[in-house]
Amino acid sequence: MVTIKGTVVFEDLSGGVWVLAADDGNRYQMEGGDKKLLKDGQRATVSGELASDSMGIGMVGEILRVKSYVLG
Amino acid sequence: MARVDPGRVTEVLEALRGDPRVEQAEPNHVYHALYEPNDPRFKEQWHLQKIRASDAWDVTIGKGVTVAVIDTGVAYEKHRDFFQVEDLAGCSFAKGFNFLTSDPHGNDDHGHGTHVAGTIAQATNNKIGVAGVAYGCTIMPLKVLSSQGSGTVAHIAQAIRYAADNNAKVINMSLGGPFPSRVMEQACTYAKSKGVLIVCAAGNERRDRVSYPAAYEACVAVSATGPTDELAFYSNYGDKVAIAAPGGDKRFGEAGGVLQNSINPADRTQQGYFSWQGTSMAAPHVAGAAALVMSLGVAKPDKVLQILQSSARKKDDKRRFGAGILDCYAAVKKAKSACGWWRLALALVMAFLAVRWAGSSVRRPLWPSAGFFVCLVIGSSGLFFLPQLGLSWLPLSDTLSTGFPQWDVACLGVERHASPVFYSVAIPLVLAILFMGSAWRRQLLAGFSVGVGAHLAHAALFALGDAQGSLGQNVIWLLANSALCLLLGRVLLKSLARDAR
Repeated sequence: MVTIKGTVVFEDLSGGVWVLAADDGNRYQMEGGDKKLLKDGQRATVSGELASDSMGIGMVGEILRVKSYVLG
Repeated sequence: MARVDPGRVTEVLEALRGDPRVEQAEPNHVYHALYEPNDPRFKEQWHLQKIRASDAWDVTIGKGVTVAVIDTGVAYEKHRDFFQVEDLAGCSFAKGFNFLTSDPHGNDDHGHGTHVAGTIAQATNNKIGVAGVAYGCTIMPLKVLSSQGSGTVAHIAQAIRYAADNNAKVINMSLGGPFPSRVMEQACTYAKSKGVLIVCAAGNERRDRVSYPAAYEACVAVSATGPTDELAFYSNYGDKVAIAAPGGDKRFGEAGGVLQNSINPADRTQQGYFSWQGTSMAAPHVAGAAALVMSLGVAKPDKVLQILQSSARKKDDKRRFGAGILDCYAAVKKAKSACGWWRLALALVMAFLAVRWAGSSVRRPLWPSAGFFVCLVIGSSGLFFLPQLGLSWLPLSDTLSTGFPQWDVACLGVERHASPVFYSVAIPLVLAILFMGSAWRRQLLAGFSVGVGAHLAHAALFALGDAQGSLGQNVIWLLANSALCLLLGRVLLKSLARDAR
């Protein structure tokens, strides 16, 4: 499990992917999450797994499987 | 951008480059196609015009080649809540598979895979929507990614092997991640060893290293360009980039993206035409071009890549563009002559067999005339060396530089390519019946018949051979007709020998 703080961004890439732009500069393609979290510009602290066994259409960085989150 | 009189391009460029306020200046090539399809929004597809796709359609539309789309699925059939998007109607599909649910319905619940499949094979010249690069090819929809656009390497590796085992000749993977996987790399090596060209997106991390699977030895990494032929802002680059293709750059507005028909990711019950950007959009242009090249009889993945690379529009920066920007028209022209030597070699072997066979039955040696060999060339390889000699300007050179069965493109139109009339013994037989009156004409007819037979044998063994294709592409049909052509050649030669006695 990892916990990452950052901004949720809807990236206009590959038809649209939800990305967590972490405050440390890393970027993650998010898998999971709900409508409260998946809002462009939403600040959040997201807990989840880095899915090193996965790939995606975003190709912006690792895939982050969201387990829980705290908004703000 | 500035418009300049074509004669003054070099002069203006030099002046601009000399100006210290100008960072860079280069020509923005805009091609005007010889042939324009009637799809109403084709004009907005700058990305197809950049790669000269419609010029290539005068030669081939990729019939007989299966391209596996390993992605979020494809909106290709009516099944449960799924439907087929309007501009994939009439396209050819191989049996799909959903590796997430283990059922044979590779439908799309995102939109990404449908857009990618559209770039490869969107129904074209159908008065609906937009066009696709190789609209005659067959799409194999393999779903490995979820409705959020991600999936496991285990499923992706399974799909790669499935495609290779089910007669796909090209795999498109508009997906990736930062980590390598041995399982997936082995699957890619396996597919390549079975003659599959694997085309992958370079990734959208804006960094100097391509993603996996694009970085594997067995894969072709494609970087993305925008409407001005510069690297798109999001595209990865690096020494693994093999070739560049349009992926869109929406900093130029909505029109700067790649336009295809897909389901709406925001409302999956709706379809529409979406302008998207990404290396995901660049890779399928190359996969489509590979299908065009392979449909002309180039079978080996390395040879296909070599043709795509050597025909690409050169750019100075290899790390950004690899061999350059894809050019479909230049690629199909190269592919046409690449097979010529093989067809001619096969024709000479078959001619030797026909002559020996006929000679042995009449117990005397037979000497084929010069006319026999001329017609052998016309039937099998055509004057494939014309473009290499710089003689493409000759009238009918496009048709004359292919073997006779491929003349169906000029006679019947590219959509009816691989016509069973041309891809059979029918025409040599009719000509033989009509013209076999004199000995010298029989020499010509025998050469022509054996030549056509060689062309059909080559198609069966290397090129079109695809049981899912039409009759004219069926391996058994092609081999049987090739044998009949050889037999007809022998009969004609034997009758010559008898007359000479």
